[in-house]
Amino acid sequence: MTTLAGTIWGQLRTSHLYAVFKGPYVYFGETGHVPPVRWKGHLTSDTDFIGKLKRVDPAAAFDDTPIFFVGIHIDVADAEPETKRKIARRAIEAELHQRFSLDPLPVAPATNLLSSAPSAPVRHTFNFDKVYVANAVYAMIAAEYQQWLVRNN
Amino acid sequence: MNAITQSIEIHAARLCEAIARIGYEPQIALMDIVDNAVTANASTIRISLFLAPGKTLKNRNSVQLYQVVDDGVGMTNEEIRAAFSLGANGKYGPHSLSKYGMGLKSAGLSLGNRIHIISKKDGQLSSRQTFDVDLIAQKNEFVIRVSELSSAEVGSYSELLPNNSGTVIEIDGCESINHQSSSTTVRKLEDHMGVVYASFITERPVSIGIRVCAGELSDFKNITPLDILFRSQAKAWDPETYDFVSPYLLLDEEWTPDLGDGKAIPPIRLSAVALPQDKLGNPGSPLTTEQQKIVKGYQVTRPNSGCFIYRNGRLIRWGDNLEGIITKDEYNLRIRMDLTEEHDDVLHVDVTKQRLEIDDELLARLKRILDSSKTTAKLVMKKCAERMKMPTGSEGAAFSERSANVPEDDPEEMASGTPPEEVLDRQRAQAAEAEQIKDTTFQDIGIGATGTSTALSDSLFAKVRYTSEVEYKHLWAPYRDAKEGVFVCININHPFYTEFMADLADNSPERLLLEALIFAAGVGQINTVGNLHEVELDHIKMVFSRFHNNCGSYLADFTSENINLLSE
Repeated sequence: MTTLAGTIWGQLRTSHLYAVFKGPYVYFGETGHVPPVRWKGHLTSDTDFIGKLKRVDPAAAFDDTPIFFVGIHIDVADAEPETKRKIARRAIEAELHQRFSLDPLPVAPATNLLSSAPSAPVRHTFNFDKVYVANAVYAMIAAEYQQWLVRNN
Repeated sequence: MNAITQSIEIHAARLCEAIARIGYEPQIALMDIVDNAVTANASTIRISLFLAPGKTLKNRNSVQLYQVVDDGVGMTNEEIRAAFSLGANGKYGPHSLSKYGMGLKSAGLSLGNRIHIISKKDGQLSSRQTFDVDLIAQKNEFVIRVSELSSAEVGSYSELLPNNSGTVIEIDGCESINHQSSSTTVRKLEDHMGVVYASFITERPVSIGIRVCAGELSDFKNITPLDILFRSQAKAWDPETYDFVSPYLLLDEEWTPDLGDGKAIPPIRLSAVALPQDKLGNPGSPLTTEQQKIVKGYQVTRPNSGCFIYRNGRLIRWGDNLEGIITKDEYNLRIRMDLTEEHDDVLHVDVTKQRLEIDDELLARLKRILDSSKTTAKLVMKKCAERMKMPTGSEGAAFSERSANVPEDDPEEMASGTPPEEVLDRQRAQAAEAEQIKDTTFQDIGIGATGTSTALSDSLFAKVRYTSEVEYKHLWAPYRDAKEGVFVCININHPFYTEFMADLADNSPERLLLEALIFAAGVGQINTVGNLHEVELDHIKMVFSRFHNNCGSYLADFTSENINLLSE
């Protein structure tokens, strides 16, 4: 009769990494807001998730396979000086793409990447280990996604 | 519909020719034979190159006999015959270096027309068994020659194989095959084997030695293991504390290639390291002398960059650019990829185990994995370039390094066979003369020697020596060392040197080109004096004496007319 479609919470201007899944496709991104602000674009813009999917696999863009969003709050990025927060999120986003390229199995069956990895900001250092954080983010995204797959099958 | 089977002809000699031409360079072929020794659990492997009479390290096609001796498990006569069969020994243990059973034949025949095996197993010495292309051509079938050892041969092979087991592989009939100079082969073996077999040398351990014998037996030089990524010295990347000396570890991860068919293959270990720019290792750079040595020891060059692909612990691909993923701008980036035989099909490893082909999907994934490392490596280069200053170093070292592998053949003599006795006499006299001057002009020009590793290069023979031991009017005097070939002494008292050459940085293009011109004249003189036996030696010497007087006099006059030319 009714099913929970998801919950989201958090302060408005805070750092997040997120992933969008639909069938065999996945998209990783970052935002300095609570994720729904950014996610709207992924459903409407020609350059974001649905727009890219339309170009790669038009049938999949319009089929009834459910779409899944997951966001992770990155408080270590918020702890960086304000001018470096975006760079910090980019650094984790680049590492997150690398985690997926090294081993896509945790998010199977989503093995096709729609997002492009940002250029890694190698000139910058942060007060956190970006590889450690990216590993944790990837594990959380994978766990949430796999739980959702189980619940929906 | 009925079908029948019919035999087809096999042209044995043509097939031998084909398998000998699948793209081996001599050092690759020798390492393929060493692979068999490693697979046979050898703990000592000795490689010898015996030069033909009158040939030096610098001559092409100079090897008369290649010999590889190991103390592995050895073979019986039946096992040697099996080793000679094409596609031999199809069943390999896990993590074997072998793959198709063609290595011995294809590698051996790329070196010479005859492959001989004498082996010892359980204390029993075998016959000599020979795979002889000429015999196969004559019989037009695959046959081997089996010869009982004479008592003298039993003695000498027993000396080579003092343990209970081991194998001697000898390859001769090399004169009809066009090969690079043996100095190039030996240099590449010395440079590469420590990297190729690093894990075997350190972990098993295996001792690998190499030597070149010109007449008399010489000592073996042991190969030192080298991790070309210098991972044990690598620091974690931090742009704020970059030190211009250390290697920086940019990637150390396991890659699980997704084949899209649900099949699981073991992960591939990937490592990446960025090294400082090589020029920082030159004398005169802002680094300390000790730091310069460390940087020079990395041998950061384009050929030494890219992906080093290991299969079962053995390097199969040196500095691969991964289909263009690694560009020439990233020549300070070294990547290591560790495969096993379980990845052969996925990555399409070929028969020589030197090449592989990664499909587009996996390449795209690999590119994403390496993107950050590439960006960081470029940043390291930029930082190093900013730190650089004009280098100055020891005179003659740069030329000696650049000319180390340039052949010094007399074009008139390349097609001729063994030289006449008169030529050999003249060459012996030249060698004796060289021995005298070598002692008084000794120059230690260690290049690449470091406190961390000497496996890539120890020291080079000084091809150009700056000395006062030259007749005062002459600018240079050439000599011919019996083993290393030509070297030239340049007169530091000649005004042309004092006014011009001394002011040119030792590794500047201008100095190198002047040294190349002088050295070429030296090679010409040495080869003419040594080989032109139709003309009396005294007459040739008289001509060259006059030639040097004229050159030296002209250059002295030119100098006096153009004082301060370089400051204008």
